[in-house]
Amino acid sequence: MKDIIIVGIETSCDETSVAVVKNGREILSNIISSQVDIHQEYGGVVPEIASRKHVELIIPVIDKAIKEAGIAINQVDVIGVTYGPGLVGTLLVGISAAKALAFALDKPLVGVNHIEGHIAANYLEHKELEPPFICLVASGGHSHIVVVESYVDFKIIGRTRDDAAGEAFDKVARAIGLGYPGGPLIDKMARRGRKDAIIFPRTYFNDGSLDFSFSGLKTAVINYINQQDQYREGKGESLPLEDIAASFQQAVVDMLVNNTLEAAKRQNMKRIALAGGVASNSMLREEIMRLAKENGMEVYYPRPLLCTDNAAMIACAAYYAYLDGIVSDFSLNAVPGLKAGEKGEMP
Amino acid sequence: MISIKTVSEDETRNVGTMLGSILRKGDVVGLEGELGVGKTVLVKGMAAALGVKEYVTSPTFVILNEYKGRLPVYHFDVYRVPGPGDVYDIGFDEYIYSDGIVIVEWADLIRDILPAEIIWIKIERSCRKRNIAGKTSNMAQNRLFGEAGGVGGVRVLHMSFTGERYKEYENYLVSKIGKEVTRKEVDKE
Repeated sequence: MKDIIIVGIETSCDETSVAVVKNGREILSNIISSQVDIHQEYGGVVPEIASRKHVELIIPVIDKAIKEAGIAINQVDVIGVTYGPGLVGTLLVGISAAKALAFALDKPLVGVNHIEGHIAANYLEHKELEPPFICLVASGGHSHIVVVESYVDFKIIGRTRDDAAGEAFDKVARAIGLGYPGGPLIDKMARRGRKDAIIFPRTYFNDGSLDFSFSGLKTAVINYINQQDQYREGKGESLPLEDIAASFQQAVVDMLVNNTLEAAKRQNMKRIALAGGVASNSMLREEIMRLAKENGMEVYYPRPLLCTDNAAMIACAAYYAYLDGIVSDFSLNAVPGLKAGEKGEMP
Repeated sequence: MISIKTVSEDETRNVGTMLGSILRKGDVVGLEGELGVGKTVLVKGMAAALGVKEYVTSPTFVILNEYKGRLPVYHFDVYRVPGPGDVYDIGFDEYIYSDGIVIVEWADLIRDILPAEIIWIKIERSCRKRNIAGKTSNMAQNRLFGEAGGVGGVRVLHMSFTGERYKEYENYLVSKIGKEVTRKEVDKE
């Protein structure tokens, strides 16, 4: 069978990323703007968040991805691009570039749901992994429990009702004076703290829902800090930041792990995958591995680079959509509020 | 300006619901207040009153969430936007006075580019003011600790209505809050 070469394009938020993937699972290149010093190579002052940053970077990043893959541009068979969820302005940059490429090369265009892309990152890491399985997608912008029924069929059975898991990490990191992104910094600091030092609240819903809520936890941590700060100020003591980090992280991990395991049990699934930036959290990985093992389940997760926003995962998802006959036309538009499993037709 | 004291998240949400019930096409609401003070809770109330059925989640990461209610609701969080000018790059001006309602969290960071006619809500934790400036070094921390620190769920919502289009809003809220907020403390200045 002839190889299928997919170009993936991802511009849903901060990252401009372009990748070349062969037959869905073999990464030939995966360029992520923040990972390489593209500014130095191509010049220009780049603001942190702006559509124009993507406009400036998209062509150089495409060029670099094609070059690094060692292919000629006319060897590309399919172009996959994220069309939501994300910021409308940045999404449109990727979509426009993808359309131009598809039109110029006369090759099919496949719109990819960003959340489904995160899930597909697991296929790049684990060549043997196939649906069905349960996937926890947790990042700065998303917290979903998804039943991956097939390569192209998804059902969300749990989602956040307020903050995303990664966002809770970012906000607590801010509160204890760490930088951004908060996840890795809290993870590191928590290793020196006691995870049972402070009992922060875990939110579960009585109605049997597997939804998440992290806002109450965030507020509890901030209240604790304010309270302790006033109390300790008088005594000249400093805050136990390591304990706060470890106890907070334990609370987040408990909620993520409990609901994900419950989802697997309800769906009678023996395989659990993690995806999104929070999937890199070391305590989450350890806890879910330990509890999954007790329940006779297996856990999969991608390497940290593939947990971040990247285009290889988009190319992978586009490959399986393409095999299933899902192709977009040139009316493809950005759908900022797209949900996993949705096709995103506007009403 | 009116100041409303709420003692729980539910009460804060109720104030949002009351305001949401009178919002009209083109209205702009700016929210100011520290991390975890209840800005998104207030938005949840407004959105519910506007007939939004889906979950109102924090847009901190994605900067903008759009919801479909009886009017479109554009829910911004500009915390991550580096400066007022950069807001234009996400199409901000296209949403102002559009077909829907614009609600902006961390509005104080982009005050210069917001319309002069605006509903402004500043939420504070209710407790004694204190100064721990000696301990904080960066902007992010000052945003958190800078003005008021406190414990528990008591909040004061300072609401001001600037402009002709919002003329009746304040009176309506004062009359409404008298009836519906369980523990009320409305100061009219």
